[in-house]
Amino acid sequence: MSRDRILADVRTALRLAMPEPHHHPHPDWPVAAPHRWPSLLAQFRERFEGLGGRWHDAADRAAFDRHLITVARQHAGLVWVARDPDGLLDRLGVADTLAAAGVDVARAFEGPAQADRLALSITATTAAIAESGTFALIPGPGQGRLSSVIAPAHLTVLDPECVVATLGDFIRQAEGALGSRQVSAAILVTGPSRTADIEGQLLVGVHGPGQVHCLPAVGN
Amino acid sequence: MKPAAERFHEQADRALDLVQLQGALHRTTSRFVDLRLAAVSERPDWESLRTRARAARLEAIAHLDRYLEQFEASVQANGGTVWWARTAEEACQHVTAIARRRGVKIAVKSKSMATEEIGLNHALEDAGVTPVETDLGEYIIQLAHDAPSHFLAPAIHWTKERVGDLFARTLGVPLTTEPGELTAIARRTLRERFLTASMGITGANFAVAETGTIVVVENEGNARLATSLPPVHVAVIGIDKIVPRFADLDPLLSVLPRSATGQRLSSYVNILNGMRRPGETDGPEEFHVVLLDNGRSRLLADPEARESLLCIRCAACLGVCPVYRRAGGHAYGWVYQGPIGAVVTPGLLGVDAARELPFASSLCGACRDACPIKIDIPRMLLHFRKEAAELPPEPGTVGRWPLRVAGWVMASPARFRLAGRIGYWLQRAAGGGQWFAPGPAARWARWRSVPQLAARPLRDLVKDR
Repeated sequence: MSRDRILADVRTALRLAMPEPHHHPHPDWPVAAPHRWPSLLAQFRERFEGLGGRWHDAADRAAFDRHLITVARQHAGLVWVARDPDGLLDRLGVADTLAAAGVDVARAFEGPAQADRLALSITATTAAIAESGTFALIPGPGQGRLSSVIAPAHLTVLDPECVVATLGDFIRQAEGALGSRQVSAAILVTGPSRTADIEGQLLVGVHGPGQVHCLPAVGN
Repeated sequence: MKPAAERFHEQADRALDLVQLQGALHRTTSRFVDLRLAAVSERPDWESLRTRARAARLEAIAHLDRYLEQFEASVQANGGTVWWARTAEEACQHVTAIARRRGVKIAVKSKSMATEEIGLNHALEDAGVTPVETDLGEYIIQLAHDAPSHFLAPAIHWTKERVGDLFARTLGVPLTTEPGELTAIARRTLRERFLTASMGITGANFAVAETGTIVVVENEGNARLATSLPPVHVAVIGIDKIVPRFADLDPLLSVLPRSATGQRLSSYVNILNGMRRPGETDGPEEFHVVLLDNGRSRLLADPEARESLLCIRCAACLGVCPVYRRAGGHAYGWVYQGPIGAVVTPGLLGVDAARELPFASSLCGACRDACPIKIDIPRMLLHFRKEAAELPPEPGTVGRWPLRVAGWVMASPARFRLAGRIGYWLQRAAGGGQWFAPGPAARWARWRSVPQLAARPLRDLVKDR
């Protein structure tokens, strides 16, 4: 049986000690002067925009709703408003606001027939990583893995409280969720879908969204 | 004809004559190096990150048996199935058997070196399944029946004109050479494949023993689509990809994208715990992992070369290698290229199947400095050079006798002096210049000039002072 043979081969191999590694520390890594941001949210925003992400600032709920409607109309077509596990999008009335503005809204991905009509997906971020401008989604009923890649544009609603400083902070947070085996994935998004496979020219939107928007939640 | 991995010199010679390839190699490798250095400069703790990443990989390899068993149990606890494959053929059999059982006609693939290593596409085709590469570069390579020439940018040797012609010819679309339009064509064509495929196939950058999690890092979004839409997900993973703990992903995901493409984090990091859970609306219904040995346990058994199993395939060593930067990926003749390829290929296939590769290096050590895991590639190249030198000489080559003669001459001052005088007079008679070496030695002499021997050697000049 291959399993037993492989494990036996590995055990036999491990009886031979590996020589102590030679240490060749690189003495001259260049180090840039550290930058201080007024807040994690400010750092996240700078990094997110640096990747080509579009940031929308809303001072109050009315401005939040205006931004939602403006982005949805920019990407004319069907808008998929996910059902995030924490219910943030429902508390903010995102689907209702868009429907009232005459936007065609879906609350679930209904398969291939719908894919061509999708213009925008809207999700709620579970966590955001300031150092890289990354946002994370933990899939659950109504907000799956696809919500970040299926539409040509993606808007995520960000609770400013959920921004963490580093990838390590996020890994420590996600460990509990994934370790419990209750969810099937944690998916990270850092800017738009990109490729440089043709002559090194950087292009966005190759498979996933070419535009990624972030709208901080207000009054949730 | 010798297998491709045994013909480095011949293939490198050909690459040196390709002007377009030389430009593409220079442009791509320089860009990756600049981006990497900029990304690294942001982390004052870079050395410490490297140390932590190396420690995680060393821990995994040092107790690989235990962590493989733990990973298997964790995947099963997540509802997935683990298959073990000692050889490429066995791995292909597992995947095709799953495909047959599920009646799969189309399988979408994200970029995976393990599946290239085992020749999975051919096996799927033989089993009546259409494999579709979905990474843009890999898609170009597949349509053209070509081979990748870089870990991260498999189609760097393709110009936009050639891609335009290829798409027009194979996809029946109007001819265009505009990269944005070409990318849009690929998106449209492949989106339809994603929506109709019933199997998604990926590799994995890391496989976490503690939780049964696999991590797939990418920039295009194709791996996410391939692991979300089809009802079956199969991940083909080398046994060396295991990491012990979920927390190890912190240093490893911190060094991988920075070293690969100079990104703080790649566009999409997929941290996957198997199939969809009750209530989840997408993700696969079945999740399979094929754990692939295919020579890795043999490499593990070589204490001098075992360190190569720590590699995380970031390709940082390719960008800084003066040999790769001129010879390109095809010269290495197999899936793994550049300095790490010159170690991994003889390690997995045997030195006799890749005896030229350990010599495809100037031993400058730039690869070791660039490696985020601090892998001492030059040390292993020397190890495989020694093994290659102990093989019987290849037919048609001069073997080791010239070095033996040189050693005999240099062992005696009198013989050395005499050889110098004879060399001087022979050189005068021949008029100096290029080496003249007949037969099997001609290749060696082709790129080498004769040092001009002085009429009076230095030691005589010193005596006169």
